[in-house]
Amino acid sequence: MKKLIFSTALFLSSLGMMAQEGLFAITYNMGLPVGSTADYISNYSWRGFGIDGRSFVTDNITLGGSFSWNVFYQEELNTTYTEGNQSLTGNFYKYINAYPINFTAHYYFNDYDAPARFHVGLGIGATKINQSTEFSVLALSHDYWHFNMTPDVGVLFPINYRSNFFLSARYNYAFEAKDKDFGYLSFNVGFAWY
Amino acid sequence: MLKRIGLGTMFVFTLFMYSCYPGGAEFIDETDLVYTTYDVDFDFASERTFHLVDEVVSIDTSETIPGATQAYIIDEVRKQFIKLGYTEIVLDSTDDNHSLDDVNIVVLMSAIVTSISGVSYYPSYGGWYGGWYGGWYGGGGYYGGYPGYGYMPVYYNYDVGSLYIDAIDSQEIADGDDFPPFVWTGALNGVLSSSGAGQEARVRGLIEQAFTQSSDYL
Repeated sequence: MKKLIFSTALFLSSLGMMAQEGLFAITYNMGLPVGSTADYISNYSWRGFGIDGRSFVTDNITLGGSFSWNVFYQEELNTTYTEGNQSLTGNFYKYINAYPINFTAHYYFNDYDAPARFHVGLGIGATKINQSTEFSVLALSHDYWHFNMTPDVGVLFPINYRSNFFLSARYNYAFEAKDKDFGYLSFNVGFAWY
Repeated sequence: MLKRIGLGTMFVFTLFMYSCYPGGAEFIDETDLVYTTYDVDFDFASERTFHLVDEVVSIDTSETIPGATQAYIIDEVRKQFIKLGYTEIVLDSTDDNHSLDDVNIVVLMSAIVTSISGVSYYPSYGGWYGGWYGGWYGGGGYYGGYPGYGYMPVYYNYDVGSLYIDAIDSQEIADGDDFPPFVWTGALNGVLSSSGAGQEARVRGLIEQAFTQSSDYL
């Protein structure tokens, strides 16, 4: 946890520097689990947020960083799991907390003054995944860092010369670590400021 | 200025998100577990007879299981075997008509209560660590504390009850095996309420569940 706080603090301070001549965004993030993550939790996540800092290196290209948090939750009440000659019945409470931290690059198809500024991008970094299954007074946990890749598409709708309404969709994929990989689509709504 | 507003919004939003962190078990009966396993090579079907040892043994020899508790456990186990079509064979020293040869499985029951205590530290944000940690530990309001105010110690102490129902191949006993293997085991586990209210219905329900999830082969 200390590492996570330190990494986040370092990251946030770098955002502050980048935001001087770039773009800073805050979003409310929702999440849809896919692949093996959906096998574990299929529920849509309504809990999450994200921050983005981007610095323009040309008129249409930014480099920057992003941090986000999504929590996925599903409860399975009075559920029986059977494997071979063994069965277990109880209430199972499943959680995934995902904290992707990425370095990002984006390309903007439209100019600064366009009514909608579409862009595509890619984030590469690390994701802290905390997966936990609680049952009775016990918990099984997977708490590890994963290498992460996050392609995304987004659009900025200018509100005034600095502020924008911001929509984006991302595929967050945390590569396998300790025999588990994780993937989810996040749909993000928020504001961005030049 | 706009960036400050943005950071402020993010901070408030983070608190909001953290405060509505999803649930988990809130009541003690939501901690109940039923585990069953069986010997795949044992023939349960050909002879559906059982003998029930009329006692629930305490695994902790310093404790005894109250007679009333034993009575409803034994009653429910008997009821469930009969419901599955088994015939009970009573074996005692006064009965010369029956022997172990008339019985397919011998059923034993045992129980233990384990006390668990400790302390956990939670951020002093307020009341969302309610439920079975005992309620509101914050400073009075929903956001009773704020980040930087440190962590609140939450002390916990609870008893976990475990009941084991084991079936043994009667022929293993007849053959003189001192440690005959179990051919079926049902293990029930849950946090006990301090008042004991509703415990009988709860334990009966768990015993029934053990038989329900074993009904394909038992």
